[in-house]
Amino acid sequence: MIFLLELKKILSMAALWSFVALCFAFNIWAIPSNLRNVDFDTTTPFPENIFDGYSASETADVYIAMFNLSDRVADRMAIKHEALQAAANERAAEGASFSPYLGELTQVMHLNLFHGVAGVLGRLLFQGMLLAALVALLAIGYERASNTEHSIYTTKKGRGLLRSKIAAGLVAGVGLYILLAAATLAVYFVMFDYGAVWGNNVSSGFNYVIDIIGARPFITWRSFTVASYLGASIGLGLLLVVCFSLMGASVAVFSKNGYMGFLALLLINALFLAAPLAIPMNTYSYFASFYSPIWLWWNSHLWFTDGGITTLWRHFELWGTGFSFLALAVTCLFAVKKFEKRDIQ
Amino acid sequence: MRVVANELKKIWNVKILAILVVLCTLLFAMSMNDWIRWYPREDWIGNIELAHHLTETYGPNLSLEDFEDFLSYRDVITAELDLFFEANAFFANVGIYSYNGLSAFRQYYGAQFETLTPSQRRLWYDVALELGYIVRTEEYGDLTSENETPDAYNKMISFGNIVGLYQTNIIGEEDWPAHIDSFMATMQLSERETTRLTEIRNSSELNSILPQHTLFYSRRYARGLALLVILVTLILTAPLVTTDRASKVNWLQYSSKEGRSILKKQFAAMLISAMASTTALIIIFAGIFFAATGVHGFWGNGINSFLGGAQFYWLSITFGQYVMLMAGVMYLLGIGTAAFAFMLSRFSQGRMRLLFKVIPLFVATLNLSNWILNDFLAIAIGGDVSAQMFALAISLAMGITATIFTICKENWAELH
Repeated sequence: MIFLLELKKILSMAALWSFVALCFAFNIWAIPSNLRNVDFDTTTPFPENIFDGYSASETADVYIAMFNLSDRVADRMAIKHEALQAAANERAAEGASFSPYLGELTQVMHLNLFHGVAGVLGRLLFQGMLLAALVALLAIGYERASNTEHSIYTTKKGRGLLRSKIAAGLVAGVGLYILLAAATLAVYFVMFDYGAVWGNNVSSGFNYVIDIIGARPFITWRSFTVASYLGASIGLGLLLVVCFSLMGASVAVFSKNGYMGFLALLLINALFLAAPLAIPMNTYSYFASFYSPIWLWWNSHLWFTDGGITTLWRHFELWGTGFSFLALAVTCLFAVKKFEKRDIQ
Repeated sequence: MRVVANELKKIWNVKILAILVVLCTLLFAMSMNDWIRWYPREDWIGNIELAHHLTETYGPNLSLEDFEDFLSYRDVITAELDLFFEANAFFANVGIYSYNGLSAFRQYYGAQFETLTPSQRRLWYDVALELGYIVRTEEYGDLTSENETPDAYNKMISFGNIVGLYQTNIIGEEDWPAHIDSFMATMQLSERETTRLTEIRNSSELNSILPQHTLFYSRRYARGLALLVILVTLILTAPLVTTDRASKVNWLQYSSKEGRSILKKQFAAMLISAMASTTALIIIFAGIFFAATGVHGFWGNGINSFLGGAQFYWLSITFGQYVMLMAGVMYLLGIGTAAFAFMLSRFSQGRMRLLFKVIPLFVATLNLSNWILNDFLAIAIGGDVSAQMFALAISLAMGITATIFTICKENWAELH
């Protein structure tokens, strides 16, 4: 019952819904207009099997030479690419390369949908993360902002409200992300007809990744169709949104007000983003620094692939999200325990 | 004034300032610093080092007489290169003792490359590697050099580039058209754009010495700086009015005539803070950029230049004036942001409600800033300059007008 009341407090805020509406409007406005009336070729297969004879170890060698990786870091990069070779062989056997996907415009459209910063899903995920954090700050800072904390938090029952608030913030954050994603993607798939494309393999020969060493095939660890890749990306994005809700909740418990809490979150994530600059590249720590939630969002267009130069281990997105979730859940629990014994100021 | 001073104290909160200092440092390290690191000051690609030499020797413009004098500078560079080859053991071993020797080697081997023996081909690759090049070969794959290209060699390539660009764009001696003619032939231009480009072509504006990379990198850096200006202005000034309203202090303030004018003073404090923070950011970060890159060496050079590639500008101004105009845009963005932040803050009952309004304001202002500063004042590529300036002016006018209206209405506002 209290949980529902807390949820109602959050969702009854007009400014929140205006924000969500603006996010939706921004998402629609940001879809490139020059691609809207294009006739995509969804029938002509890619002419060759690019995975037949593909050598992942050559890519590893280039990375190792270009960045002067050595010792165990170089070994790990080589091991990762040995595993990638196995994935490439599987794609070769399936004939994934021949998938038409969206023809010559596959790479552009794939990034248009999946890119971490400039793509629809990337924008949605960022908005979801932001909403989750803000809603957590709102939920937990509500009593202080309304000057009711001195009466509410003087009792044990009152202190227990925090758990309901965290849960309400989490549910609201996730719910808003799902709502925004559903609305935006509904419009997107009306604009771009993916009817003939859902069953195509994302590792089509028309699709590729461009990074510091040039263009290379888009190889996923397991076979994904466009539909399953979209589903997996949205699902993992949900977990990342949960991470940001927990982050917002942890910060909100310790901060003076929602505004300072937001600034603290901004600072924490800016520190995470800048961390790789301060760590020597030839260390495990450098590559581990890309497992923070904000970097996972930044690299979301590489999810379920080898991740390029920024990862040494397989399934970086799953490990990173899992570790982040565990760490933030523990932090949140710690914050709750501290709060239950804290003096009211 | 005392009230304004007290409001300023509220805005310039030590904790928030500390967070901003760290945030600005991080944002600088993550993005703006790249435009300093990558600035090709010594690389032949930018022709920048030699452009500095030209400016120091001949002033902001290169006339035909100056150009003819400049042609003799080749001898100076050749002499520097000869010293390099004489002192280099590798080149001595292969019988190249001077720049002319290298040129002869290149001509001879280059003409018969397909028929060279494997050892001759290896020599060809090794010469390139010794000069600091990355070499693509059929036999050995990509070969990377551990050497740095000698400064004098960069200068020689740059010299050739600059001579070629002057001959193409000013004298019209070369076989291919001037950049401005290609630009006019290939781009879809309006009548106004064509008129302006014709005006540039028929004037001596293009004699100016200003490399395109100098303008490009300065613009990209300015775009990053504008982000900092908007962010700092919003974070500092947005919560001022909301904080009073959240704690119901306005009930006490509005009980007196003096108190009714508090909003006016708060807005004044916000504007002063916006101007002060913008000034501080420009001094610090523009100072870092100028010190690190030396672009201020081109301060008096016109922005339409024979070294400018395929970019031409609406105004016949110097690089220094261009930089000042970009700074002016940042000030206007800062003031406009403060005005809108004031409006949002006035109508927000709590800081969280304020955040839900301020974040879209940040996104909108950032998009406006990027739209204007991306290719600032560039013809065709930079977008419709009139529309950009109109959008900036109208946003500023709307913000200020709405603010003044709200302040005036506040004198008779009923408290809720």
